[in-house]
Amino acid sequence: MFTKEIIEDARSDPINHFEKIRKNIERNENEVNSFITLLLDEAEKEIKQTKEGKLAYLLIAIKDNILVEGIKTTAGSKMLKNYIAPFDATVIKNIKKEGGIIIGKTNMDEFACGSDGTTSAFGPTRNPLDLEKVPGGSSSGSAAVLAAEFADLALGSDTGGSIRNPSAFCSIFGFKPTYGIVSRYGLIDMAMSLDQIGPMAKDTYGLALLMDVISGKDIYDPTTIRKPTKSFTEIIENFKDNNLKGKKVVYAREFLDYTEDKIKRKFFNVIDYLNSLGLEIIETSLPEIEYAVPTYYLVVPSEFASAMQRYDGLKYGYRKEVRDIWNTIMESRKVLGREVKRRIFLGTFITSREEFGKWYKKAVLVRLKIRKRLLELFKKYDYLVSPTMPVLPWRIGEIQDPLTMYQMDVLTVLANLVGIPSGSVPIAKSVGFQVMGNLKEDHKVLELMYTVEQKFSKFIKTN
Amino acid sequence: MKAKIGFEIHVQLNTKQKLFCRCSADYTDKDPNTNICPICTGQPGSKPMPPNLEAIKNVIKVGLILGCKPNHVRIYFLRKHYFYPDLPKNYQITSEPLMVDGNFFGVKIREVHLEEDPGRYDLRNGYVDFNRSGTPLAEIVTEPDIESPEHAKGWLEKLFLYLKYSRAIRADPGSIRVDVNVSIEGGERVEIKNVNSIDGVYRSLKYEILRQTRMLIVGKRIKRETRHYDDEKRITAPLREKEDIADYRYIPDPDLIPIEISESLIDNIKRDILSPIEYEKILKNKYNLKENYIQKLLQNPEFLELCIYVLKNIKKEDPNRVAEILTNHVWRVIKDTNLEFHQIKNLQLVRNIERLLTILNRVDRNKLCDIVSAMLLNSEDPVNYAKKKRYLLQEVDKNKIISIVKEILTSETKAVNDYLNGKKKALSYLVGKVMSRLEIKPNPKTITEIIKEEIYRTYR
Repeated sequence: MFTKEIIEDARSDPINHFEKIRKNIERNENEVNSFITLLLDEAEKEIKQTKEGKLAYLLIAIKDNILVEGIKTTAGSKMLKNYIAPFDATVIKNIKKEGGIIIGKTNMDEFACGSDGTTSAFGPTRNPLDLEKVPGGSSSGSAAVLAAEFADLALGSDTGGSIRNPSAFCSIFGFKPTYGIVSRYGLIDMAMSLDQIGPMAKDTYGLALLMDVISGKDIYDPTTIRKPTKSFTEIIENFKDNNLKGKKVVYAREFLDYTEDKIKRKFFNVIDYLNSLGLEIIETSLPEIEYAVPTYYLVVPSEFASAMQRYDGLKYGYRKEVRDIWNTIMESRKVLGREVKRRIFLGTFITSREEFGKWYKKAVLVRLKIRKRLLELFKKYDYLVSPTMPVLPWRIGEIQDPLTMYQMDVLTVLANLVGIPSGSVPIAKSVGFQVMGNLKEDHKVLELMYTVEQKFSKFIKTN
Repeated sequence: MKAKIGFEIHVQLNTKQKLFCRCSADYTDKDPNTNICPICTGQPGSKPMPPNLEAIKNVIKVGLILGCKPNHVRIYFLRKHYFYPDLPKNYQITSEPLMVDGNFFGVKIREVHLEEDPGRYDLRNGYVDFNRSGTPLAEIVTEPDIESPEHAKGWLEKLFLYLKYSRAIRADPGSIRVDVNVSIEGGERVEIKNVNSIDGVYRSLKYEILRQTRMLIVGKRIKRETRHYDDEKRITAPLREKEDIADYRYIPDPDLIPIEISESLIDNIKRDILSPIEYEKILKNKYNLKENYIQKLLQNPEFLELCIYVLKNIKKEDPNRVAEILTNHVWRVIKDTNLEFHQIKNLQLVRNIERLLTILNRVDRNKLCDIVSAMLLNSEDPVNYAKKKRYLLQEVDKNKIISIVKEILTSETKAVNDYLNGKKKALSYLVGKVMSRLEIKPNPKTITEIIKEEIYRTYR
C-alpha cells in the first residue's frame, strides 16, 4: 500500500491496522532481523488511545541511533546494549506530537559505520526482497521494515548514503534532507558535519509527510536552519508532471564508470522518460568524483573518533572494571566492533599533531573544492541525477575488504560532503534512482522523485 | 636572577547559565549531580546549544579591561581531546581567541578565549560531580613579561581587582586557576600547572626559581617540562611523563557555528565597563571624599556600589560624614553578619542613614555599631532605637555647668596653676571634678571647652 492508503486504513480502523502489521512482524521478523527493540506492547497501548495530528495512528520505525525517551538506544553496538535514552530526540518529540506511534527501534550498522548492515552487534539484517542478500546500510532495519510491511514509515540517518543505499536495495523511498533542515539533537553522532536524519517511506508522499513533521529550526541544534514556509505534502499534492517541463537535469559520465550495466540501463530508461516529458538532459564531466570517497573517508573518521571519545565505560554503557580508571577505559572500549575501532584509529591518526596537515586539513580543503564545484553546477542546472548504488545487493558477508566496501558509497557521499538534499526512488527491484538538488531545494528534489515514482515505482505494489 | 614569567589564567565567568545548556552556572552548595542535564553530562545524542551570549559578552569585557582588541575573524569552537573522568565528552569545547594583543600594567596579553569548565573528580573516592561541568571560563594568556615572584603577585592582585570590578567574573574564592610558565636565563621553559591562589603563584615561583638557579649553578640542564605545585609541601614536582606529552587533536567542533564579534557589540560592552580608576575619579571629584575613605571603598566593588548608591540618593549631607558611617559601622556589621550587599541596598537604608546623621553629635560613639546593626538586621529606626536604649547624650543646661565650673576653679587653685604652667593632666582632673557634680553627663568635650574658656577669661 502507498502512504495515502495506509493513512486511510490506519484511521478507519487503527487496531485492525496494527494487528496486520503485528502479524507481518510475528511471521517474518525472525528471518529479516530488522528490529533491535520491538515495541509491540507499547504500540498496542498507544493505538487504543485517541490520536490526533498528521501522523495519527501511523506506525513508525526508528533507527536505533535516534533517542526515544525510556527506550533502549543501542546504535547497533554492544557498548550501548543496555543504554536507556534519557530524553526524546527533537524529531521524536515532533513525531509524538503529531500522533505517530513508535513500533520499534531498527537494526543498523554499529554506530552507523557500514554500508550493508553487517557490522551490527545484533546480527545482520536480511534484505526482505531476497533473504540471502544485504539490505544495504547503515539504516538497514529502517529500509527492511518498510519492504517487509513491518511499519508505515521510518526514520533513518544518512552520513554518506545510509538512508539512500538501503532504500535502493530494499526498493523503498529514502530522502536525505539539506544539512540543517532536520535537527540532529538526539541523534547519536557519526560525523557531525555530514549526519542528517531523514524520512524513509513507501512513496514520495510519505517522505513529504515525515519531512513536514521533523524539519525546522531547533534551539537544541545550532546547525539547524528554518524550514520552507510551504509544506512538503502540499507541494506534492499540488504537483503536476508538466510542472518540470524545461527544468535542467544533469548527470556526470564518471558516475556511470562505476556503475553495473544492468543498473545503467534502468537509469537511462528514466533519463529517456524525463526527456520525453520535456525536461532538458545534459551530460557533464565531474572528475572531482574521484576524490569524493577518499575525502569522505578522511572527514568521517576524524569526526567519528572525536564523537566516540565519550564512550569510556565510566558514565554509561559497557564497563569492564579493572585495576584503575585508565585501564577500565581501555578495557571497556574493547567491546566496540572492528569497523568502529578501525575508524577510531584512523581518525585519531589523521588528527594527530604530526598528521593533521597532511590528512585532515587537506581533506577539509578538497571538500570545500567539491562543494564549490557542485554549487556552481546548481547555478546552471536544477538537478544532478545518478543511480543510487553502483551495484545490486551482494550476498551477506560477500564483501569483507573495507576499501571495497567504502567504494560502494561513491555515488552517495557527494550530497553529504556538500550538504545538498538527495533522495532515492525505486525504479526496479533493488535499483534506486538518485536525485540531488541545490541547498534548501528539498521540495524540488521531492517533485522530481514524485515524477519518477509515477512512471517507475508501480512495481513495488505488486511485490 | 631575572626570570621570565608568563601566565595562563582561568577565571570563571559571571553568568546565570552554563555555556552550552540551560543549567544554572551556580553549582556551589548543591548536592552532587543535581545541577546537570543530558548536554553537560555528554549523553549520547546530546549537542551543545548555541553559546551563552552572556558568557561571550563577559569574555569580551575581560579582554577590553586587559586592553585587548577584538579578533575580527570567524572564531571557531574547537574540541580539545583528552580522557579524564570529570570531562563527560572526553573533549573540552574551547574557542579560538576572541580578544587579542592587550597590555595590562606593562604585561602584554596574547589572547583571551572562552572554554567550558569540566566537572570535579574526587580522586580519593573515585566520585565525579558534574554540577560544575559546562560552566563558562575565560582563559587569559599573557606574554612572559613578568620578572619576579613579587611582580607576579602584585600584578595578579591588580588583575583580579579590575576583573572583580567589571563583574565579568565570579567573585567567590577558589575560582582562580593559573598555569605558570617560568624560565631563567640559560634554561628551558617550565610550566607549573593549576596553581589555585595568588599566594600559591608567589610561593611556587619562589621555589621554582630557586630550584632552577641551583640546577644551573651545579651545572645541570633545565629541561622543558610540566610540573605541579604542592601547596602543603610548598614545592613543585614533575608530572607523570604521560600527562606531559598530550596531543589534544584539536579540530573545529562541527556542532557549533563560528561566531563573529561585531563593532556594535564591542561598543555596547565598552559602555558597560567601569574600572577602579574611573570610580576613584567619581569619588574624588563628585563627592570630595577623603583619601582614606576612597581607598577603603575601592577594595570591594560590591560595597563600593552600595556606597555610591547611598551617596547618590542622600540629600544635603556632607559625603564624608556619610562615608564615615558606611566605611566604619555599616561595613563592620556586614562583615560580622551574613548580610549581603544587595539585601540592604534600598531607599530605607538611605533614609536611615539620614536619620542617624541627625543624632550623630549627641550619640554615644561606642554604641554606633549596635544602632547600625539594629537598623540593618531588625529594621529599627536609628533615632527611636538610640532613644529607647538611652544611647543619646542628653542636653544639659549650659549655665548650670558654667556656674559649677566657676565654683570648682575657685576651690581648685592648685590644679588651675598647674594647668597654667603647662600640665595638661590638670585639665582632665578639673573635667572629672565638674563631671562628678553633674547628674546628667554631657560630652566631656563640652566641659573641657567651658573650663578653658573660663580660665582664659579669668587669668588673662
